[in-house]
Amino acid sequence: MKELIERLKNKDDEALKKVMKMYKNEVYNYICLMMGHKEIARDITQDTFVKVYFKIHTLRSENLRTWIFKIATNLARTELRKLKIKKIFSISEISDSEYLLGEDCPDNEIIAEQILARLPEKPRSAIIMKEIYDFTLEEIAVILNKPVSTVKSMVFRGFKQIRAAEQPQKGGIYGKQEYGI
Amino acid sequence: MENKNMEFEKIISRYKLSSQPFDVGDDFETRVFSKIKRKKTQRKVTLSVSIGIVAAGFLFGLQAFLFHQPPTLRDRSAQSITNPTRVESNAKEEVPVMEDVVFSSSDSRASYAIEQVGYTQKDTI
Repeated sequence: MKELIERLKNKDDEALKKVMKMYKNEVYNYICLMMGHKEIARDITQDTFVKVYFKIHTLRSENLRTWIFKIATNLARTELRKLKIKKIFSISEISDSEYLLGEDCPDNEIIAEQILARLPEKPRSAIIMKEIYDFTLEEIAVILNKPVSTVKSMVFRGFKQIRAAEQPQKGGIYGKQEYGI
Repeated sequence: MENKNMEFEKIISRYKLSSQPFDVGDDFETRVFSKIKRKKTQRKVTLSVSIGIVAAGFLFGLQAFLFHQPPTLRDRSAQSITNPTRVESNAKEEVPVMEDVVFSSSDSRASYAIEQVGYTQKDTI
């Protein structure tokens, strides 16, 4: 890994190709879950690796994966903020994010994905990173730039909201307003 | 956290590392490299424009400096006329007159002459 980082620092295109091969799908799927939109996720993933190429000299540790996820998370959060502002100032209605799992999925899974998409962005990214990408709480704390204790409570509160939202969904009632997520 | 629902477990397992459900596409690398190339060009243009602005600023500053120089010898001699020093002797003394005094008149009928003047003790300030 150290050698790969050194090569990246020397602006070696082959090294960047190797890094992309290792992490592109992982980052893309993470951003898909964060944004709920494949096209935007693709753009953000591309921008993530462009930033990796130009900012590699700022990497201090050897944990390239955590660093790449940190870049991707920051870009996704910036994009989410832009989308929020667009939504406020837009006269026409902007369509909600397209749900990702597709038609062949059971309804329950689609509902679960919708619940995840409606979580606030920080608990959402913490849960996704912990449960799907197996990051430790310490790594998530580095990525989100928060203390470990804050990350712990974020994950706990996130799951509490998921549990609360799943109950009315099962009964056929849309629980977004009722549970405040 | 232990009571995570089954549906949520399913979505998590679906996204797990071993089976990433979405593929980013074959042309991903090409797109990234073209974005890098574009950004490099952008940086070059920004750098050239910045250098141009700095150079223009430097030239402007230099010009301003040349036109607002500190008082020269010429200015000092002019100052000596406006604030003459006390003349002690009775004898007439020559007072330096600047050679390049310029007069102008709007009707061109007035005529001017420059002659040397001197101070007597009475005249002195």
